[in-house]
Amino acid sequence: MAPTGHDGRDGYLAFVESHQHRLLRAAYLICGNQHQAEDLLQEALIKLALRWASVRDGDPSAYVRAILYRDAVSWWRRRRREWLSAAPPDRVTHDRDGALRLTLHDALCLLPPRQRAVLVLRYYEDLTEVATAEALGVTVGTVKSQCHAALRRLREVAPDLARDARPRQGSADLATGLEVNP
Amino acid sequence: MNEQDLRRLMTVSVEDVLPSQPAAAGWDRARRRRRTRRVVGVVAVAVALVGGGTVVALRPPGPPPNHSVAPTPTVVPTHAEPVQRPPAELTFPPDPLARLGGPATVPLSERPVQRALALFQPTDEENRADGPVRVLGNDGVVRSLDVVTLTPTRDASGNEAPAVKPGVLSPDGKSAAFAQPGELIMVDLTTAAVRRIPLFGYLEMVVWANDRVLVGAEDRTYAVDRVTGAASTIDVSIWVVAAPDPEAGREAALIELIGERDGLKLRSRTAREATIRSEERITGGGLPAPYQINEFYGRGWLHGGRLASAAWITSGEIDGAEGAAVLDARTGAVAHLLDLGRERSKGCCEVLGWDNKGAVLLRMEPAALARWNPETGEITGIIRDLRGVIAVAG
Repeated sequence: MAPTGHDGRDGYLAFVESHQHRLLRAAYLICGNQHQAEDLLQEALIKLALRWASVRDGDPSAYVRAILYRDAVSWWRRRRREWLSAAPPDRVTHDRDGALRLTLHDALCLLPPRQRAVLVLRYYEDLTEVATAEALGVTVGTVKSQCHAALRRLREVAPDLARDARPRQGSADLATGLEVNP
Repeated sequence: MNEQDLRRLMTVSVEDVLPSQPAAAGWDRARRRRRTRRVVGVVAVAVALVGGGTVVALRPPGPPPNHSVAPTPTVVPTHAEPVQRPPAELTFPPDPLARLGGPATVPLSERPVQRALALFQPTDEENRADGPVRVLGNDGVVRSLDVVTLTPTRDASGNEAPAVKPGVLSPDGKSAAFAQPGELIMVDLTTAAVRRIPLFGYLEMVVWANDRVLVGAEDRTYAVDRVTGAASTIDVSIWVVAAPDPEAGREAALIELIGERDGLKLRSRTAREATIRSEERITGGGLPAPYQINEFYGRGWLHGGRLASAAWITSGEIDGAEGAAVLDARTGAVAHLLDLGRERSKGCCEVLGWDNKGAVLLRMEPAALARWNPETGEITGIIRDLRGVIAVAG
């Protein structure tokens, strides 16, 4: 069904209003650039609108999330490789948390797109490994291996994150090389 | 740092990232996109394709095809150079390349080509290969590539892509080269013979460079002799090197497109040693403000002294519009810019090469293939909606 007139428009707008902040922020974590994140989100929302009639009674969140993350990986695959780590941070800050944020931002930009997507889905979206695999259209085994590789790479490229963040009892410690919860 | 710290850092690092577009923007743009597709569909019904029509002239280095006819421009340009825009509705004059949309009728092994005009890999919604590769010969017959089973290319992180990519077909249409993990596969399309050349790495991309095939992975590029199969590494990035002009000879410089925005450059390397000869900053030339190139994407293609590539551009409408550009390959000045607007999907419009009339062949959603003559501004469709990867000769 074509998204014409008001057929489903109100429901679509309500969905977007309630989800776009989080989706944009997830896109930003993947892209490291707000402009590209907005492009990415807009493209996913257009695809959602085109399919709204068949998606709205199911799980539109899962649908748009899958579009967003797969497009993110696909986009970055088409981009020039040398550019991947060349984007400067958007902001400058001097406080400790701010410095860690920039360190995280820079470190994420050094990861391959799928590894970034796995980290964002697992630790920003708080999805299980199974849900992460569904969103990305890969196996759970791929999610585990990509997550493991991503965390190891984070430790390599951003040792400041491991040194500066506060340890918390009972949780997996990235600095010690322990894998995160399955 | 533990996983709670990672969650917290991720959360606070994006707390000031706020949407700038209203919720209705996606709905409205989807409606416009759907309307455009409907119009194209109506035109598709109204304009019957003429089977066995004229044969496109795709810069054949050998004997010309039997019925070489220049593409018929159907749209009078309405925008002055150097910035041009496509018409609201593309017209699709009969074109042999449109036959790529039809199924293969015979295996390549049974009926090799004299010369291939194009290859086509159908894909599904997730951009995975979906069905056999089609080989369109200059006789208008579509073959299936049955002599080799291609696996998706992949990188070290497991990101996969179809093995057929723009550039796999040799400029003369007689051979195809496919990057595969750990090897280069070369297919002689005139005999259906297959040759496998073992190489190291997750090879992903191929560029034909006169008597060599450049094939590369994330961290290395090989130059493989087309005849002997001898391979050596070469210091050029397969991701940014432009496809050389086949008419330019074996010593023609290798040109790389590097950087973004004000840092965009053309880097010239010697053909054999890949030694850097020069770097020219890419300039807007005569583009009216605020037009500029933000970044190139996809393969760049050289033709004479010009280079064509898809790009993300800044237009009067938006920073990040889709576009395509033709540059002076010596000075880096942008000679022509095709403004494709903001309503198309990201990375919609990869340039696939030139034809022998000086027109640029490119994807132009919703058209699968279109022809843009940057000198006149004429733009015509070649293939309507067709999901997959197209590689054209030339």
